[in-house]
Amino acid sequence: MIRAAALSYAIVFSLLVGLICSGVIFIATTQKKIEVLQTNKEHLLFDSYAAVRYGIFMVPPGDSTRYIHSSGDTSEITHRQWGAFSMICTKTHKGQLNKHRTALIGILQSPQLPCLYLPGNSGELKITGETKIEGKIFVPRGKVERAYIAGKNYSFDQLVFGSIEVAELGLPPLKKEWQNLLPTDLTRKTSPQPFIAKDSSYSFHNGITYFQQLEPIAIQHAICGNVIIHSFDSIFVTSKAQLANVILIAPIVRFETGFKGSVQVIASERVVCEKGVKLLYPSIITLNEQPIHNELTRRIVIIEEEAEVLGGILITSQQPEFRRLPFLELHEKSVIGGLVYNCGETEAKGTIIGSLYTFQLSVRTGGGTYGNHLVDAIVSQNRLPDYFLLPGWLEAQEKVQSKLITWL
Amino acid sequence: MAMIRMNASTITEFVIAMTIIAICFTVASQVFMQTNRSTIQFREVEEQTEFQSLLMDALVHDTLPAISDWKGELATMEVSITQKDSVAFTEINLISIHKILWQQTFFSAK
Repeated sequence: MIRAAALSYAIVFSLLVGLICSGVIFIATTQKKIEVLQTNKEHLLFDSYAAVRYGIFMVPPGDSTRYIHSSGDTSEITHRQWGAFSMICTKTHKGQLNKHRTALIGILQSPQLPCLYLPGNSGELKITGETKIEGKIFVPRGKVERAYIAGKNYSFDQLVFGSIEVAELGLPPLKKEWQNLLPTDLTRKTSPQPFIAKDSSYSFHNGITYFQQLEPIAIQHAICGNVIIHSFDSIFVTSKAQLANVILIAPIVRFETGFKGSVQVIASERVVCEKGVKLLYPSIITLNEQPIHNELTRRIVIIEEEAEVLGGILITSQQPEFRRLPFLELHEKSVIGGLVYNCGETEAKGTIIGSLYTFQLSVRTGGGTYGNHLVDAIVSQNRLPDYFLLPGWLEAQEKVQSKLITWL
Repeated sequence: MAMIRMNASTITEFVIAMTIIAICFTVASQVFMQTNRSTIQFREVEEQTEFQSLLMDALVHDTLPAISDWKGELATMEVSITQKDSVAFTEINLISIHKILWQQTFFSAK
């Protein structure tokens, strides 16, 4: 026989202890759940980065695949083209959690490109003023000479700070896809829509947003990401505009003084970077001259004083006319970093850090025009930073390794 | 002097008391164990965070981390590499007292 008072004390005490224990167990379980959730989130974050690296090395261009990580996370990886560069888009997920990541990638190439390639067999390269050539060069007959024009003498003891080789009669060929780059190569079957002038950010995980219109477009907003802006007339980028990784397509593209951003330009008639414009790495200017009858205007890319283009410039022609070849004009103190390939004529008064391939060189000074001359120009391969990846336009460029350019 | 006589406990009371004491002992021992391990656990978490920083830096900046980069005292970093075509699959593990704290696969060119 148990006495009532003692039993009820015991029951109440048991309940209290049970309650405390349940509380402890509940706290421990919740803590464990939070820990698992946080660990999953951490794994997802790391695996999303690892998936991009997997895409760089294992997924061929234009392909997509699925990869299961050791943590159990699954990544869907797509490798596609974005203008002159490749892009890896990944979606990593586990249960309800998911993480998107995009990166622009380029390629390390071999062999190292020369700093100057000037084909032909007519006259040797002549240099004067403060001109400095650093790296291997290919010039007609393998000869470089000092020149004296417009009261300027060559100021260094050494003509070329590198080796000199004999160039072929023509420029090294481009890869097939870059010989005649057309807007349709980039837009493919994307449906166009009229340009909407507002600040916008377009995710690379959705389809391409393709703005197209017949009239000129003036851009003065902040636009970034997965967007192609195409005008059949011209595009004017104002100093107020903020563009990041955007593709611009128009016969004529002009950047106003003060503009700073990264863009890829596909033009067919004229591109002008006004004084002080900064096209940040990785930016590309391509001008592809189309055969048009009775056209007298010269196709031209102008990089004005103190303007910078970091990435590359590609100038091609589908019907080269000897008397009015496409023209690349680099003004004093302008800087181009990367690869410059011009099937026409180049007047280089600024700095080219990387490689310059041009069919002809000329300079206008002292009231005259001089062919195969460089005056006060710097062409250097040695000053190119290691992280800087050149566009793979040339047929001779072989991929050694894919490398990350930037996270988007 | 008068002796106070206390009634002996019944079996039920005894069982209940023993159960309560057992539960109290279990909870107390768990708390003690946890407290004892907390210093090690804290250091493990600390080193795991340092390891994750190292990995994140490597993943973002496109560089393969080396064992010499690891400065941890409690946990060790182990690397195993398998090759497939032109790609190296580098398995990087952070191990503390025979327990894998973190595991990450790193892809790089051979």
